[in-house]
Order: sequence, then C-alpha cells, then structure tokens
Amino acid sequence: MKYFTIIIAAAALLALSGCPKPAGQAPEAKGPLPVKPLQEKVYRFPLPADPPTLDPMHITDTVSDTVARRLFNGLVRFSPSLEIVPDLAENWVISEDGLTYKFFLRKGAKFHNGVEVTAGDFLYSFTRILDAAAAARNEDVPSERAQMLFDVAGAQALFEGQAENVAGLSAPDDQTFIIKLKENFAPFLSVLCMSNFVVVPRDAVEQDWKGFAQHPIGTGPFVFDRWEHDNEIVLKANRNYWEKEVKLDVLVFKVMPDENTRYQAFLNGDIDHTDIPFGKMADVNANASLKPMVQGVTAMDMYCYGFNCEKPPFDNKLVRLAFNHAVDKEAIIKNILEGRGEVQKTYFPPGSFYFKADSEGYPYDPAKAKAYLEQAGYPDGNGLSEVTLSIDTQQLSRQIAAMVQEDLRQIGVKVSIEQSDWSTFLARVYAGELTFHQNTWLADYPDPDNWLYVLLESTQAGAPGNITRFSHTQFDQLVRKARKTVDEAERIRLYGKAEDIALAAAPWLLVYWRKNLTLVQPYVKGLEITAMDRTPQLNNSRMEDVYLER
Amino acid sequence: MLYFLIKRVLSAIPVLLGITIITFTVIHLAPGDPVQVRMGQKYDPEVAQRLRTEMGLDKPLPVQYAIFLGDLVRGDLGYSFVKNLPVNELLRGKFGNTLYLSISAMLLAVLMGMLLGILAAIRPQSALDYAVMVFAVAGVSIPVFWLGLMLQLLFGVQLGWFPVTGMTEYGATLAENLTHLVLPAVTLATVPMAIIARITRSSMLEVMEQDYIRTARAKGLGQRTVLLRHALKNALIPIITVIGNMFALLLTGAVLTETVFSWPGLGRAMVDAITQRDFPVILGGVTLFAVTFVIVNLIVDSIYAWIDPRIRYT
Amino acid sequence: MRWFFTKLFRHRAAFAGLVIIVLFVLAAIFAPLVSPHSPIEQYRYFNRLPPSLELRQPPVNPDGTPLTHPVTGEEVQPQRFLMGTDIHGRDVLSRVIYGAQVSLLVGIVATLIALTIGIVIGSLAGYFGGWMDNVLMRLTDTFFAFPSILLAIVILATFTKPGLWAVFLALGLTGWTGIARVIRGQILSLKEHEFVEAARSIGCSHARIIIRHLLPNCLAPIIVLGTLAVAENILSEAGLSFLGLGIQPPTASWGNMLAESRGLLKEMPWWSIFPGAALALTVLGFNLFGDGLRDILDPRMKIRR
Repeated sequence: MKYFTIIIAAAALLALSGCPKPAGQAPEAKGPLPVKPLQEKVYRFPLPADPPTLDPMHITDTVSDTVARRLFNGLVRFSPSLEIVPDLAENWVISEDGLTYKFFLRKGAKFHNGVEVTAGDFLYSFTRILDAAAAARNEDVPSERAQMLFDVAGAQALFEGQAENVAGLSAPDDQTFIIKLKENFAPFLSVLCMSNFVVVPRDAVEQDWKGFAQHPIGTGPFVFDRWEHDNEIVLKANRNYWEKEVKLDVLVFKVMPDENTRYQAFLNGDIDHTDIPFGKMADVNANASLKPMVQGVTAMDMYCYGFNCEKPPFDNKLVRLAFNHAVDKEAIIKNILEGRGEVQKTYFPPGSFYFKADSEGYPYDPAKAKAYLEQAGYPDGNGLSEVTLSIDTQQLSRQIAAMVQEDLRQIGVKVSIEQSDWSTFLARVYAGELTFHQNTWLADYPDPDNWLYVLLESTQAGAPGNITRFSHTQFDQLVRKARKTVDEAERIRLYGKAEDIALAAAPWLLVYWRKNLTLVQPYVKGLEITAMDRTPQLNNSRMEDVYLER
Repeated sequence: MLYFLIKRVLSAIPVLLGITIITFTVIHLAPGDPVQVRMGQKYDPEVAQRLRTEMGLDKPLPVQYAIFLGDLVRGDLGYSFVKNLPVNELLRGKFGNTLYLSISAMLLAVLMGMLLGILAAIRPQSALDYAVMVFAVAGVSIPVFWLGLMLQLLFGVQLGWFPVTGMTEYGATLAENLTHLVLPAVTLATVPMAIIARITRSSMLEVMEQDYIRTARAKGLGQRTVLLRHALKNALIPIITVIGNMFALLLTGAVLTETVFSWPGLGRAMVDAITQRDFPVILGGVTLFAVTFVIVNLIVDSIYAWIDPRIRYT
Repeated sequence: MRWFFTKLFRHRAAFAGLVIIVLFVLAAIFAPLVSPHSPIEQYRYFNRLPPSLELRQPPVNPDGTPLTHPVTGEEVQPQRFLMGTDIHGRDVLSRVIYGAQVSLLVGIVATLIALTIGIVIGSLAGYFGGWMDNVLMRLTDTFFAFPSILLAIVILATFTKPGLWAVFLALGLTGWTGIARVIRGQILSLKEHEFVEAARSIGCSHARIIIRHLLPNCLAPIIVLGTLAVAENILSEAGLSFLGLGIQPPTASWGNMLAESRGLLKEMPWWSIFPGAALALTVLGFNLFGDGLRDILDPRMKIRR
C-alpha cells in the first residue's frame, strides 16, 4: 500500500513538474517598459559572443568587428546608405589607369594615447597585415586577411618573405599615403572600408604586439577601458575625437550568448537594443508598445543552399531548376522566420549600386518543378537516389531544412538532413564532398564583386569562396571584366548579364535575404541600422551619433 | 597519515596522464581542422599553412603531446586556437564561475539531502519518510535540463522572483548578483540531493539497528545525543563515499545547467571548444576538471582516514 | 523463479516500474499500429495547434472554396491531433510514441555495450589480480574521472555523420566504469570459494571458469546495474539531443523534441510537456524497477555506485 502511494506521489510530482502555466497569456511586457534609472549616458550593447580578438589584423567575425569599429578609423568608411565617404582620409585621387590611389589624410587626428596620426602609421598598419615574418617574431599568427591585399603591388612578395617591405605602399610625407595596385580592382575602396584596414599606433603595437588584441588603441570615437572576458567590454567616450562630439559617455558591450536572455534583458530595461528570438516575433507584433520599437532592413546577408555543380545529379541544371521551383519560400519566411526575411530572387542583394530589381527568381511552382525533373530524366523522382542536405547545428537551419525536405518530398525527391558542426562542415565543403548544403554569406563590402566574383567565378572554386564549383566561361569573363572596370554604368551592365546567366543556370537554391529586425528602446535616438548589419551586432551603425533621451 | 596522502597523490598521477592522453587522442581523431574554422569562409591555402605552423599543428602527434605535457608542468595550458588568448586566462574566470555554481549546489545538496535523509530515518514509514523516498527516486529521473527549463518558466518568467539567465548584472549589488545563483544552483543540486538523501536515510537506518545504538538508548541518553554523537558519525562513511563520487556527476549536470541558464562557466565553454576544435582549450579544460577531481577525492580520502583510522594502513 | 515473481508482485514500486516499462516497450514495438499519424508528416495547414479531442477543420480559400494541396491537388481533409502539432504541423502524439523507439533503443543498446565492456574489464581485473588489476583499475579510474557528458561529446565529435551508432558508442564507452568496479568486487569475493579451486584442479581454463562459473553468480548485480544503466542512458541521450548532438530531426526523439521546443516554451507548451513527461515517466519506470530488483534479489548486497 505504502509503495502505491509513493508511485502516485511520484507521478504527481513529475506531472506537476511538466506543467508550465497555460499559454495564451498577455505577453510579458504590459504597457511602457521599465526604465532602469541607471547612469544617464551609458549605452548597454548586447553581444552574442565574446570577441575572439580586438586586433584589427585578426578580425574575421562580426562580433569583434562591431567592437573594433568603435575604437578604430581607416582611410574611408561607409555612410549609412553605403556610399564611400572619407574617414581619416579627407580626400583621395585615383590615377587614370586605376592603379594608383593617393590618400590625403586630415591633420590633427590623434590616437587614444595622444600621439598624432601620420601616413607612416597607415604604412605600418597595412604592412603589418602582410608581414608574416613580423607576426612570427612576435609569436603571433599571420593575418587571416592578408590575401585581401594581394592586389597591391609587392604584397605577396612580403608575405612570402621575399621582400623587406611592400613595394606598392608608400608614405611620402606625414599627410599622404599611396597605394599602388598591380592590376585594376574596381571595388578596392570598398574593401578599404573593412575594419581590418584601419590605422594602429606603431609604437604601442611594437611594444606589445600580442597584447594589443587585449588592449587596443585606435583613433575612434570610443576609448578602450577594460575587458572582462565572457562578461563585458567597457569603452569610454573619446573626448578628443577628431570628427565630432560623442554624445554618449560610456559604451558597455555585454556578452549574452543566449537570444532569450537578451530578449528578457531588453524587456527588463537592462540593455538598449536586442534581436528578436525565434518564436517571439508574434509576441512582439501583438504588443502595442513593442511593435513600434522594431527597426531594421533587409540586409546583404543571404541564407540559401548550394548545389555541388560538379557532382551528379546536380551537374544537370534542370535538376537544380526543379529544386528551386519546388520550395515554397514564402511559407518558410512566414512559418519559421515569422517575417524576418525577404524572398531571395537574385544572386546579389539590394543595397548596392547594382540590383536586378525586376528578377522573378524562382517562384513556387510544384508543377513546373515536376516538369523540369521529368525533363532531366527523373519523372516523379524515379531514378534519383536519396539526396543529403548538410546544414549547421543552428535551430533555425534545422527548421528551414525540415520544410525544404518536405517540399522536395512532394515532388518525389527524397532528402535526408545531416547536421554537422561548423569545422567538419567547412572541411567537407572545401573538399567537395557535399552535394547539397547550406550556403550563407554576409557582405564584406557592398559590391557585387564580393558576391558574383568571389562566390561564383570558376577560379575561386573550392576553399576561396566558390563552394558550389560553378563554372561558366561567359559568366567568368563578365565578372572578371567588371572587376577591373571603373565606370559604374558599365559595371551595372556587365553584372546584369552575368546574373542572367546565373539565374538560368541555378547554381544555388535561393531562399531568403535576412532582415536584421531589432528591438530598440524608445529613448535611443540616432541609431541607424544599415543593410550591412547583422543583429544584434549592428556593426555598421554609428554609435558616435547615438544619444539617449529619456 | 602523511605517507598515506603521498601514496594517494602518486597513484593519482597516472590517472591524470591517462585522462590527458585519452582526450588528446580522441580530439585528434575527430575530423575538422581548427585552421579552417578560424579562417571561416575566406580560406586561403597559403595563409592556412602559415597558421598551421604557428599553431603547432604540423608537428607529429606525439611531439605535440610532449609539448603539451612540458607546458603543463610549468603551469602553462597553451594558447587558444580560436580566441587569441592564453588558455589560462580564458579558463580562469570560467572555471571560477563553474566552481561558484558547483560548490553552491553541492553545499545545498549535502545540507538539504542529509537533513531530509536524517528526518526520514528518524520517523520511518511516516508521511515525511514517503515524501523523501518519492523525492529520492523522482529526483534522479527528471532530466536536469528539463527541470531547469521548468524552474525558469515558473519562477523566472511567470512569477518573476528570480532572474532567469546569466551570472551578474552591470552595476548590480552583491545581493542582486546572488539572486542569479538561486535557480541554477537548485537545478544542479536536485540530483545529488536526491542521491544523498537516499543514502543518508538508508545508512542511518542501518546504523540505527545496531546494538550499540540500543545500548546508548538503554543508557538513557537523549534522542538527540544518540543521533548526532553515535549514529551519524558511523553513518557518515558511505555518505562521504557517495559525495566523493558525485563530483563527475556534478560536472555533467553543470554542462547542461550552464547551457539552460547561460551561465558563463567551464562546462559550456568546453562544449563550444569541442565544436570549434579548439584543442588547447579542450585539453586545458579537461585537465582542470581532472585535477579538481583528484583533489576532491584526496580530501574525501583524508576525511575517511581521519574518521576511521583503520583505513590509513591499507 | 516462482519465488522471484511472487516477490516482484508484492513489491509495489518495482511492479509499477515494470508496468511502465512494459507499456512503453509495447508502444515502441507497435508504434506503426498505435500512432494515429506518421511522425514525420508535416500537415502544413495544421501547424502550431494545441491539443484537442475534436476534429480540426482546415482553413478555406479566401473565396470560400475548400483548400487543395498545391502538389497533389486533393482536397485537404480535417484531422485530429490529440496532443497538438508542432511548428511544422507534425503530430506530437505520434512523435512521442515513435520517440519511445529511439529512447528505448539507445538506452538498451548503449547499456549492452557498457555492460560488455564493464564485465570484461571487471572480471579480468578481479580474477587475475596483480598488475592486471592495477592497470585495469587505473584505466577505470581514468574514465570515471571524466565528466561523462564531455567524453560523450568528444567521442561524438569524431564521427563525421553522427547517427544512431555514434550515440550508442559514445554512451556505451562512458557508462561502464561502475559496472566494472562492481563485477570486480564480486569476482574478487567469489574467487576465494572452493569450487574455483576445484575447477582449476581439473584443468578448466580461466576463461571457462569466469564465464561458466563466476559470472552466472553475478547475474543479480548485472541485472540491477543494467536496468539502472538503461535509465541513465535514456537521460543522457536526451541531454545530448538537447545540446543538439544526438539523434537528429526529423527522426522523433524525446530529447530533440525538447530541444526544438525550447524557444517556444510559452507559446507551445504542449510540444515540451508531452515528450518531457514521457521521458521522465520512462526513466522513473526503469529506476523503480531497478531499485525494486535490488531490494528483492538481495537487499544486503552492496550494489552501490
């Protein structure tokens, strides 16, 4: 008898433990959000991870990028509408043949340690990225971004240790910095906007090369104060900032890897903006006070799938087209993303000077998909062996893949899903093992070259970027020419034709462009979210323009 | 006593070595190249080769292991592949956080567990006894992460009594920071508490049946004296055994608890490091765990030897 | 044998545990017959629905005509979902039933692997003693010192395509230490008995002695430990799936259902309540049964972990 009672009690305990309160209650925030009366001009900025480094020459991820942007300046930068505008270079001259870039630096800009910036510092900063030997001497690894400067004359020679310095870089006087390319590269100025190509103080770095990543010194609107790993990074306003007066006093980056934590913290008033976690979009839209706090645009940030164009069955473009028309992209955006995406209809996103706005992409049309499949020789999927879709371990990726899998099953194609962690995934992608896999890309610089050349040109096949191994002679010619052409109108024409080829050949299964929808506290003013931003990193937004008005 | 301790320490060394060797072998068996992870999608074979050399990955495996050991003896855990920081610096804070959580949970589990076990043993077959027995079985049957999620939902979101995630707040007081500890510690403590309660109860019951207890009662000693002075001390040995063995269990639970509550601890850091193939961090973290485990066992063994002098001579 | 079953029936807790186990095992074996829907079919027009006993009607077209499926052209039929549907419109009840298959399979196979390793190592160490005992026990201590979940994750990481077998191995290779220790203890005490000496004197090989004479006497602890190990492995599988490392969707496993529903705990609680309850109940069943067995077979046997 007594044991019977135990069982009942245990079962009751377990049942109770499994019983959350019923859903359908009002969303957590009712009415205006609480505003913690913390320090007035402190901005609390959430970071989804602890940055691996703050040394510009090693930055390859968006988290380090967003912190670094507050600390450093380069020659040029992007305006919020993604035009190239002066940063530390007041103006510049490009030679007729497009090979020589002469930058005229402004006077009087100072590093956070008081030293004035000269062209010599720029020369040092750029050389440092290419100087693999210097890195080794300082027990550091060479810059992961070195290859982006290989178009500069003499760059590769220094990197390989065959020269003492870079022939193409020079600083004839304190205010002039000259870069000579070995061949024409139209997007070069865009590349220079990346946070790797900023100026660092030579003396400070030489004193402590490795430590620089932990105690960065730049010229930017904020000064590094302290870094508690996995907890927070505190920056203070640079009261001697050369460009303008910084309105905030303190900028605190809080490391919060869990999206639900960030969301909750935002609702509690503990951070000043946040991304919206999976599943919460409906809550936000239903809440009259939260909904107007959402900001964001469609970003140059792609989520799609790639086909290995060298391996069957995807070496047949009809199969690729069939797959593209079989997937209901609107349904994915509605069900999984809850509106946080835009159907991808082109191979290059909007946001730059070029965009093929009239493209139809691959509309959802199962009948057409079936027809293509039949044309390819697999009527109703007969004869087609099971396809494996490889994705990363994110929850979102899994859910999207589940819908794609079901859509393909409807036209007769059997798909199995395989998730692997990032390192294994990359290894297999580069080795060309995978046939159908996740393909994501965030713009490094908003130029079609960063997409259409890097990702689809045949010499970039494999590790450098063209992981789908797409190869089309005419396409290659068009993008290679567009890379070297300086005239924008001509580039638009060339890229337009190239994209037509890509659309017809379908090397990717287009899915969506990410929208970087962000919840921003109502008292935050001056924050502008650009198309190059991921949320909550907001790398390209200008924190020096932000102020808090309660 | 000292000799006993020294013997124990010496026998722990092969265990430590064993753990590092196993970890080292297995992670190198795993596919996936840390250099590729680090470079992301902008892979360039030339730069990769340089990186590989710098990271020491081009040397033969036994040499790499030897280097690791050599550094380890000097207290240097190497340099993280992913985070450009020495492993020592990276893990120091996180290890502290995990200890903070684990020790709190352990204290809670031991105190509450023993209390419940003793109460149940004093009044066998009572309602309290049943409740404790139910708890003992239920406690080890509920998935740790599930319990964490439910506690988060009930106490954090619905009732709003405790913060739901994280360890500290910017500019918060000590008291506020302590509230962050409550839910994760309770979650982590549940399984050990159930085990300890159960073993305390059965050990106490067994001891209380012994003749010498009856003698003590016959002598007229009060219930309390009997309990604390005689019964408990003798019941302690199996309890302490269990507590010592609980350490590995606690760390397993910590990994899941840290994930649910976004606690910046070593458990979660390890999961990330494994995914990112950050070899030095994996090796360093495992070594830290192992060393702690050995130290905990040493303490447990010492307590044994102190309580029961017979053991010192084995 | 009869003695055993009488005692079992009298021990209410163990009996209850057995009932639970049998229920889930039956559900797992007869899943295709018992579950109302396929566990992986996505009913796109019925997604995110809470549990209900009624038949749900599909939405209709804006002009009032019944909805037809975009690919097959057939009319979309009303459906019943007793435990609701998840984000893709998959029936939770069916997934819970099929999830039993995965959990039980993983629990049992991983335990068998762990038992095998544990018994081999334990018997060798206990029987031969000396340096072999020393070495094997050091090995056992080493594995014991590892937080099992980390070792499991590292082992899983060595597989390019983690599948069922990877999980079996990862859990099996981490759970054998307790078993090895107990078996060693048993063998050590049994080895002194006279029948062993007798067997040696008539020329029995070591292997034969261990397998035919010693181990059968260890059956009781093996069964108890095995049962409790199944409970533990089921929980571990859930933990691994929760971290995203175990059985992958769309295969239904209770662990990965909990992982998938985590972000939507408030919005779709039924997606986590049911698999969570099933998990807890099954583990409870094995724990109760294992404990009961321990009480029945020999309450004085020190089968502690």
